[in-house]
Amino acid sequence: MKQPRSISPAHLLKGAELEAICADVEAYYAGKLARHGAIPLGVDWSCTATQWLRFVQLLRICPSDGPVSLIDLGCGYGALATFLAEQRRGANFEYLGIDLSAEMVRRARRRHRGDARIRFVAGRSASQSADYVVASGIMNVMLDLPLPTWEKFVRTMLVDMHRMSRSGFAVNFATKPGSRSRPGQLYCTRAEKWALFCERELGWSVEILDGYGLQEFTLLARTPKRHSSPEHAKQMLHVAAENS
Amino acid sequence: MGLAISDITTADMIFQLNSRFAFGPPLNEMIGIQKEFKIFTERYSLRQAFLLLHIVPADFKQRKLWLEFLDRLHTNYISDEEGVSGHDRIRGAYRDNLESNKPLPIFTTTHLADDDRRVLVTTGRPIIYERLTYLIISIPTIPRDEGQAARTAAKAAKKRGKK
Repeated sequence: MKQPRSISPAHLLKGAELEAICADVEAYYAGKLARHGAIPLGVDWSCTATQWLRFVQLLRICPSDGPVSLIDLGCGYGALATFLAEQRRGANFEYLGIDLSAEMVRRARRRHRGDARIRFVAGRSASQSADYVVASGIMNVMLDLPLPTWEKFVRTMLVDMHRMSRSGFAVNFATKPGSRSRPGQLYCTRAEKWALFCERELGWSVEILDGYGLQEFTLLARTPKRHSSPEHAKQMLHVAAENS
Repeated sequence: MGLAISDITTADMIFQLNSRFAFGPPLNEMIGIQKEFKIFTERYSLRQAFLLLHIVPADFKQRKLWLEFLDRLHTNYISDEEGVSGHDRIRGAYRDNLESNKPLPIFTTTHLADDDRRVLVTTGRPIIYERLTYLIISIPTIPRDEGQAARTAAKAAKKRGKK
């Protein structure tokens, strides 16, 4: 099993503390689902179009053709699976959606009944691995937790994504709170912080996508050997400059 | 609008449209969506585009009426461009603006159909406490009571014609 280079256990969440946060997150989204149903609002996104826009960025981690296996962490009602099936009609892919909420998973299974390529399980993570792991929005809603605690949660999730992925993972983060979000509800951060974490602590190459119209960025992390684009080198120079 | 949807829903839809196409992050979001998915092109009707953007009334009965109104912009509404329906004029205005070098925030409003029966697309400063220039889309409306009276009169005339 892959081990991160040098993360102190004190910087990660585990045991009862992790379970308590997961229970809060589960309750939050179960409430959203009960209120809005299996639509973007039910997983806290404003509409299908912005949800798709995020999927486009996240799926840039995968090669556009050829067989691929994918884990979708915090899959909700399976919207990404729908998008993927539409985008890769007839293509060979294996999708595993994981969500804390059993009710979300039940809805997701119902929506994708009959497609053998798509599976869902309830839980926090999987013991198995896939080529790629993606997560949309799971780092955003910090539920009034203290910032250091939430950042431990983020680190724990990134370490999990790293463990489950063979070739790379992708995750998005908010950069600014929306006009309707309550102070303390949304976790907003800078790309450099988590790019450095993935590079230094996980030892993977990072590419940051932003400027696609949303107040967020998408972090793509790949096994080092797979990445050598000049764009990436430029991005890393930028990250280094920001932190020097 | 007017007879098509309730007055409260009209106000709600105008608010939603003006919020989602406002200057700053909302407009940037729309530019990003248009760039990636081209939702304001012939690929999608306004009904489909607004469903994808979730610019719809929360009330399901009103939602149905709103979507029917968007469809009727095709058939029952003319525009300030000759031979172009209200629907295509609005969709084209969104597309041209969002794909332009300097997209403007979009302000949707209404005007009396008695003054001008056409869907109008202009630019200007509709908000007096702002210095921003907007693309302005104005939809002709008939006040509910007048519309109701006209509809009743039309029905009666049709009945008389049958006899």
